[in-house]
Amino acid sequence: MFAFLPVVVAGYYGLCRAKQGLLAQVWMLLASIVFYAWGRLEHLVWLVVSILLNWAIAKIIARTSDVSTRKQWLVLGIGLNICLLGTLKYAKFILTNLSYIFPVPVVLPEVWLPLGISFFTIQQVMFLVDCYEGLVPASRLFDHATFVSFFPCVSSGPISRVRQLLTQIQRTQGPSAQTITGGLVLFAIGLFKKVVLADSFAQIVDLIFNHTKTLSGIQAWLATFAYTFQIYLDFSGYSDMAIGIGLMFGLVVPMNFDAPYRSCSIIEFWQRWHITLSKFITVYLYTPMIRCFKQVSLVKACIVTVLAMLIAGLWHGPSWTFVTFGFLHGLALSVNQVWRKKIKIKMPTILSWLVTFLFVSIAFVFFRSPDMMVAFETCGALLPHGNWFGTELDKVVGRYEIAQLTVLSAVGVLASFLGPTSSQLAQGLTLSRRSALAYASLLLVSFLFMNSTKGHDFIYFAF
Amino acid sequence: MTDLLVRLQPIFHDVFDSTDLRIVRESSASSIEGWDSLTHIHLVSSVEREFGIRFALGELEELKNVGDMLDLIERKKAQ
Repeated sequence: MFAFLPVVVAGYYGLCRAKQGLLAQVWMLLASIVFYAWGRLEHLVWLVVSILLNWAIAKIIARTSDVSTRKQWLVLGIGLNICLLGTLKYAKFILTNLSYIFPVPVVLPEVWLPLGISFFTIQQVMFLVDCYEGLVPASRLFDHATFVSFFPCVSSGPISRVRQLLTQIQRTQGPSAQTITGGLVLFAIGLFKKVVLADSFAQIVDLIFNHTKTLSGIQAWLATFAYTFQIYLDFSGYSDMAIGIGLMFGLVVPMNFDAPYRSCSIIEFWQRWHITLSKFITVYLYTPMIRCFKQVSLVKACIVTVLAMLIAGLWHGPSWTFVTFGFLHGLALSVNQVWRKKIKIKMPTILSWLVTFLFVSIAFVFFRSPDMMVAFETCGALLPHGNWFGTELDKVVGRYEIAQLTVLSAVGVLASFLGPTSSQLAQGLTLSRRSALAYASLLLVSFLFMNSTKGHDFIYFAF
Repeated sequence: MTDLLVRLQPIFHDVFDSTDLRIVRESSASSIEGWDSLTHIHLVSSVEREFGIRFALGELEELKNVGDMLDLIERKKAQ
């Protein structure tokens, strides 16, 4: 990435400066293809299949005037996207669960999950719906391929819409010195969040989650909170880097995080956490379901909320732990709605923040656990029990590492709760020697950490 | 446009359960308490019924305030 990115940005910048917009887009598409195929060439096949399929269906929808035929093509398009995702990601999960009811041995060929399939499938579905509703025209194959495969976002978002991104790609005059600088700042912050802060939390989390059978209360709470910060710093770090790279191309990619752990309700949390997914759930899942009813009522809204969040939970991965994560959040959002509409008691801010943060942290135990047994063991250890105080971390981790992890964890916690967010820092950037030195130091420290500690993949790369 | 705003007013009273609520073009989720995703869809359904129009899903996300809603209603009515 550190050789690839400067070459790609420099090439794109040069072509834009030479007013070769078409060649610049070809360059971007080629870069995206190389990036995507880098890990595993065969993944590219599935991306190409998805692009061709959705481009063709959008063309047919755009050419068809009869409303019911358009609708049939839309349903077919969404169905095919779900089938592609279902076959590659969920077939084993579904068949294994069915085998508990119908005891037939399950033998499936090993299929590598294409990078970012969950993300680009969502983008394709939004594209088809927007085409069907006449909000966007059916794109040229070249434009559609550039949009879907755009390399900073293809693996883990932020989830963009055609209207947001493609229009910019087609109209861009190229990046300016200011957008490249802003992009570099966001990239540096994101990389620091990931390799220095999130990976430090990951060391604590991995250590404790590997011993869930003998967890003390303190260890269970430590692992729970450490993972809460790890996943935020990891995923928001990735998003900052993706938005930063977008800016280096002169493109504004939608924001994905807005200091979610400062939320004072679950509704607010989902307005600040994984914002682009949250918008997809609200607009493209929740709204069509609620529109099926003639009258909207609180009970119906709660049922639909739980259903939408169950789907969102399952979208993260083929496991009951993700389904439970979605169910818990659906339930909490419903309670939050009932509280707002019926109970109407205003809690003190500090209490509502505490309840929200504790709920979010405990729900993440299900997100992190490899299976339901580990999740229940960890949640069980959170409750008061005999072995409450033993930490015993110093028996497996050296004192120097404990001190280092404590300091870095404190930085991670403070950055999550206080001060400006990454996008505020990038927007309020004033160029000076001091700021250049500060962000160069962030990059340097990140590079040092990348070379000296055991790196972890981005958590959302698995989805 | 003012006529549209007058017709929107009782819908907001009904959806937000508050007869004191006075909306202007700049009114948004941050200035009206309780304007969340559920209320938003309730509001959208009521507006669709009142004006005999249908919003596209992709358009709902772009309604940041009452002014956006008024502009979109006007565009839809003109179609």
